[in-house]
Amino acid sequence: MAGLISALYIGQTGLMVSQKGLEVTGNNVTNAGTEGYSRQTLEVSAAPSLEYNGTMVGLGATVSGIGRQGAAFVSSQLVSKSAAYGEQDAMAEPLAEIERILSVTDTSLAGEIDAFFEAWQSLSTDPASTVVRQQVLQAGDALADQFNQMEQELGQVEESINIGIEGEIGGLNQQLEQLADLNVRILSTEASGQTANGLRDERDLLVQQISETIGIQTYESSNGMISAQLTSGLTLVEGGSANLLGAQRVDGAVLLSLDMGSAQASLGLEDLGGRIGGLMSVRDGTIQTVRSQLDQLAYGLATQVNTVHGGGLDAEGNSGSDFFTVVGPTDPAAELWSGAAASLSLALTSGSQLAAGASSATGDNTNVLALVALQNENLIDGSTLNEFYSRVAAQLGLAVEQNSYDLETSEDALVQAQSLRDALAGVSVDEEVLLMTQYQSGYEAAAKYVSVVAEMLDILMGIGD
Amino acid sequence: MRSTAMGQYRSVQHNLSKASSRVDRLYLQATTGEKFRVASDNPSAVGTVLSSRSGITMQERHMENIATAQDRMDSADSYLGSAENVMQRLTEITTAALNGSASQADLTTYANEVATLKEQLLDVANAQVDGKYLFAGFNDQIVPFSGDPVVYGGTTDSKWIESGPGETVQSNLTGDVLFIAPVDVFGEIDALEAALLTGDSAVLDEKLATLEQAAEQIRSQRGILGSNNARLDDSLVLLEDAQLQLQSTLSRYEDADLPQVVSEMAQAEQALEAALAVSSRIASLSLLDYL
Repeated sequence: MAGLISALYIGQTGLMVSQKGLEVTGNNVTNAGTEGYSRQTLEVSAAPSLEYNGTMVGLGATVSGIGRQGAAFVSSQLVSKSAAYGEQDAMAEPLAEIERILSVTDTSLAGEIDAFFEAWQSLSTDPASTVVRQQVLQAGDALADQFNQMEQELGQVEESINIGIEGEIGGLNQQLEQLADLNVRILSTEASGQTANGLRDERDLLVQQISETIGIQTYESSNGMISAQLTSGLTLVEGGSANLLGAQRVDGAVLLSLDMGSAQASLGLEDLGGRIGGLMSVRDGTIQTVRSQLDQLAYGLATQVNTVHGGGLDAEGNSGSDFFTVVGPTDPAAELWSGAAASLSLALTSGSQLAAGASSATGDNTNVLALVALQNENLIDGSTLNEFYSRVAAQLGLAVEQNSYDLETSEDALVQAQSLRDALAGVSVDEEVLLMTQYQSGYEAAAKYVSVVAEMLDILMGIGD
Repeated sequence: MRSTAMGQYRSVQHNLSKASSRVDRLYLQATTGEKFRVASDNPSAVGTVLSSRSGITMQERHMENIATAQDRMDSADSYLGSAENVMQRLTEITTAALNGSASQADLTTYANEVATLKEQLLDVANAQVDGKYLFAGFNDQIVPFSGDPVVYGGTTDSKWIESGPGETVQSNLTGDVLFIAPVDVFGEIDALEAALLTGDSAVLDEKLATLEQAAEQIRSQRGILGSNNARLDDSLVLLEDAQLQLQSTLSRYEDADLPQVVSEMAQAEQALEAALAVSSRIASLSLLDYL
């Protein structure tokens, strides 16, 4: 009697195991499209046997746990690949914008420089003409405007990068706190003997997202908690506590710092990776280089034109005053040309102030010819004005080319790592369907077994009738 | 390697977006006809493209400079042509006056004609184009020859124009070398007129020689002008050649090679089509269909 009852229990464990298996499979199938989900597996083992009249009898099957298909190697790959991809991806947009500003079309700065000298050429054949003199002033004004505008547009790119960084920081701090929180929850869940599969998936995804934003390296300690550090080694998350980032505006630029409780660490380019690192490197590297080169160009143009212009006499017989005005830097340590592109403006107000000749005679074009010659002179760093601009634009072109190449490579690498993760830990629907049929038939078999045992019990009960 | 639906979708999506962005880029090239729109399209070409464009602008400017200068030089040349006619007529008059058969009345008539011819020559010397005196040096808005005796009020400066990069050509003749030094043409004409009125044949004889010197003075200057003008013709031809050269350089870097773009486009479209066809088949095979 007791044997049959325990046989019923054995049947029940079979039903339970199959049912649990179906639940796990169901969960897998429904999460087949969930980002970061790791396939879960049913871990079944035989229930401990009992001795019965000298023989060991098994007591069915038992679910020993629900495992999570791990992919530790790929997970760390995803963290570093995400950082590389985030950095290149964030750089692409501002770089394209700077490239548009440093245009190479007909309407580029080089075109304005040509137009400026063309106007002077025109004056050389007709130095007394008030119309042509006016044209020269207009060309000078347009050239100065172009410098001002480019400088202003560079400032706008800089500002949108600042706003971008500020935007990233808010979300990032939230994610860091989430990560610390998840660490605690995973620890407490697993300490109580349960599995924390879903939480671990969530944490892996979070780490990946944080890395894409700022570039991190992670270590998992023996208690299952993850510590996250910036690439320079500064700690972001340690166990259950997170160090948050702060963003302050200093002279208009957003500067980042890390609040480490007792101390504040200010973060530089070398600490940062990911999207924030990419944005910073464009803001503090590329834009500053381009800006300084434009300043150098504007300064070289203004001083050389002013020097030659000052060597002639205007229509009234006065020696030529400055053609362009540039405002020098207030900081004595700054380069002479610092800020020249922004402040460049036309100093002359009337065409008669143009010093066309060595005399004030109406037909004297000697000084105009000297000015026209500047176009082909190596005025800046051994280059003509035009060549210098070409060099600036070409350098940027190379940076953009490099970025789009790096972006493609890092995206490929990221996709590849993701595919690898899919292969290791993703859900294959076919596989799950197969498991489903396996559990179904297991359930059928167990049910059949239970009904046979029940029949036997019936027979046993009917003996007395 | 296990294959999962998510992995398949991800890689197909990745490849699809790569294929379609390649097609987009080629479409843009084909519709605009340009393959060089931003520096990163070909960073190493930036210098060449910008300097070619600058070169073309400047060549056009130099051509205009040459055209303006040649207009003035052509006018100057035709004025100097009539100056030569005046000088020739003066020589004829002097020769006729030296012929013994001329009476004092004839000589007086000749003297009157000489006075008229002097006025004509003065008009030539004060010729204007576009409101500017041709033979006045830099003072081109002030009458260069005036007074009695006629004096030169212009400057001795040459007007240079740039006819090419770093290349200048003198585009004017100044009044002093034409009419004043070494032979003072107007002074000589005055002396001729006086000699005719007095019938002084010795002076007339002497004037015949100096008039020839004066004519030669104008002729040789006209020759210089002519050779400068011819030099500008040569420069113009060179500029046109150089411009064609630069334009073809520019076009090589800037303009899309349409047959090549179209064939690349066909290739890229085919790749995209294949990628699309594959996308539509994802997950079309499933174990579910067989259970």
